[in-house]
Amino acid sequence: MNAETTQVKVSFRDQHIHREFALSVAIDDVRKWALETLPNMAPTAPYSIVFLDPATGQEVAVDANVTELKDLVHDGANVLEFNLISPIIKVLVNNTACEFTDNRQTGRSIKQRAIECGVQMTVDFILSIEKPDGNTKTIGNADEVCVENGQRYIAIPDDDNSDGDVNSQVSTAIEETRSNFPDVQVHVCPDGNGGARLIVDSVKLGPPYAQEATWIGFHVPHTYPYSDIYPHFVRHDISRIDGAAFGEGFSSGEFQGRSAVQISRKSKNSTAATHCVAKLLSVIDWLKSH
Amino acid sequence: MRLVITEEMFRRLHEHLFRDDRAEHGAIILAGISQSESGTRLLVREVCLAKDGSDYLYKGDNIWSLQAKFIAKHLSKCRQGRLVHLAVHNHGGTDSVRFSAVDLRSHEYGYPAHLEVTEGMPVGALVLARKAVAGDIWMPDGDRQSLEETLILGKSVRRLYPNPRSANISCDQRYDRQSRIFGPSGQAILHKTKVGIIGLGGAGSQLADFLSKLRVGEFVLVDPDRIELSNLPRVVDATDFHARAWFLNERWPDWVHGLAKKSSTQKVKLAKRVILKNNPRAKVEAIPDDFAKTRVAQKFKDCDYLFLAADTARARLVFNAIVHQYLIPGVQVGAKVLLDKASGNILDVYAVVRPVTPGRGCMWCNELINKHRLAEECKTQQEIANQRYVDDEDVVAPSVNTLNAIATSQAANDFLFYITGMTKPSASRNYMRIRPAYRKVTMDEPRRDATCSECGEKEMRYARGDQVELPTSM
Repeated sequence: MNAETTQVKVSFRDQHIHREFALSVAIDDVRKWALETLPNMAPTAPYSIVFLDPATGQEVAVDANVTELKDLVHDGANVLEFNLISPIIKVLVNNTACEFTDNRQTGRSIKQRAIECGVQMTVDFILSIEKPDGNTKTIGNADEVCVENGQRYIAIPDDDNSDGDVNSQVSTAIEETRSNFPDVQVHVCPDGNGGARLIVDSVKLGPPYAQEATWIGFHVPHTYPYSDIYPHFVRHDISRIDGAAFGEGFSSGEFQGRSAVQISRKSKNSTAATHCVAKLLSVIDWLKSH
Repeated sequence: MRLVITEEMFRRLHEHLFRDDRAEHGAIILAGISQSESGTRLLVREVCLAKDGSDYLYKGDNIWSLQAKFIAKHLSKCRQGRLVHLAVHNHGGTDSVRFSAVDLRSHEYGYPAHLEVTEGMPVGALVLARKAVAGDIWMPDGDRQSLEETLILGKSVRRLYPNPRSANISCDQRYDRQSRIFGPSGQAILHKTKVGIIGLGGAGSQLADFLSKLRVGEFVLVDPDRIELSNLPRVVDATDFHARAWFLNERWPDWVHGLAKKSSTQKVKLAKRVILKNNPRAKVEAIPDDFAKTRVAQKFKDCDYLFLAADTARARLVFNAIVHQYLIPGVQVGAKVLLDKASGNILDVYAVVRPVTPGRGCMWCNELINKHRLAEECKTQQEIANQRYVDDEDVVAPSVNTLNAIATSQAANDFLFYITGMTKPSASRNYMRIRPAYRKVTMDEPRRDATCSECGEKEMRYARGDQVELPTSM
């Protein structure tokens, strides 16, 4: 081997990609080569350069002077192994410092690491990164992220609200009503006792009525399904095409702040459990056929 | 703990939450915070409405959700701006509201993380019914507080609570005649109100007298001066004794005169006596010092209303800052007799009443704080003597008790109707200028500069509470 050159083996340690290659480098240029050329071979993370002294197995920083490197080569070590070590990358997640040794992460891995670092969260929290312009950007679990020193991440869940507690039976009644009227809005106003007042925005009317549609409202009490659902309420200006008066079962009223026509249809069977949707559909049928 | 919000912001929030669809809607409030011995106030600086379908979604099972990405953006803003983050949604109902079990579970699940993000600033939630507000506020020290009261600052102040308040209030017979105007509940409100009066000369002492007779419960008074002979015609209850008049007689040497002036009664002490004479149960803090000092100005940050009856530019600057930084409505009163310098003839005589309220323009953007006077007031006497200082007729201005009374009685009535909720919606909030010689009243509409550093809602000072320094001296 030319005394003025040396073989260099380069490997990347603690990186996703492991690369090793050998080349000849003029001994006088080893240090310069290490500082100028090696960085171009490395992934984008910041790094520090050390090389392994083959004699001692010790790590020596590249900014050691050339004389030392020359000395090592003279000892017959004709291979210098350079290792590029990624230093620790420090970011903040919910203002808690989290360290990574690999800058290639995903949303999920950042969250998992944050939990390991003591951040009060679960992996179900939604991750965002604070951008330099002050805005934030959401990061999905599978999104690939290059973590860099000083970045700030926020991990929080959605904030759930409910307009009041309804019991499970009433909740089922609400969901069944929504399922039966998928194309219209169903408004729910809990009554504070576990029941709720519902308004279905629009049900079809048509003949014998002058109006094409009406809203319909009713109270599902907390004692449902034991209690009947009665009465129901529709729009206050409902009218028949033939101008005839409404008969029994109709009266004027008010529901949830709306002027209304009250439809009083008690269930015939006083002991059977009520089914909210069945009762609603039967009232609508009765209304249309009345 | 109280929440303070201007009428305009509350109306915008209310219209967003309560619509014909009777559904749930969401928003986020960013608020400054003010902490004092009388409690904590959250000062609404910004209302961010959540867009249905993207920021606020229906999840099924009667559960709605404020989305994390919408929250994250505002949590970050709160951390950087040192603001309190409040998630807001509405329930049905009118006069009472409380968080549901779903709401509270969500708070317990997510708000520890919110606290970490905001790095020492409180976080929390508000839930509104049409006429009720409840709050769950998480403090950085682990404490968790409920919201007791929401104050909406409009032409009158409106108060909202989580539940209807009991109306079982009795009224002292002494105040029977006046409580027939605003009811025992209005009288009770006055008793719980804390006012600050800056300047206890002629106008300020009248205000102290009026307000204590109304049975306002707590006062903070500030004035560095002592009673002088020339004050006797105007300062309420001031006598020769208070001015040490006997020792100011010509027969005494100058050193006796000097001693007399240094030992005469402090204006704030006299005002305190007047207040306690009218209302022995009032709490009064009398500060014989300069209002524009930091530790003095801080005493006013938990007042419910401020009266500026001092006419220095520095007092105006600090008063204006407190109004907008701590969302405390106030009024500046003054009276002026303009003289012709050459002839000494009276050019004009007028009294002014200038309401200064958050969201309505301020003294700075209405050019009522003179930069040159500010600079002069910060100089020492020697500097003033050495540097060119032009005689200003305002330095020894004519003043008369009855002129002060025009302004102070109007200001006291404005306060009374405001605090008891009786100001009519059609009432003007313009500056009043009363010219008694002409028996004329003019109303000047204040201008409002959205970019004003003192009152602009997106600018440095507005609703920032304790996080921004007041323009005071150390």
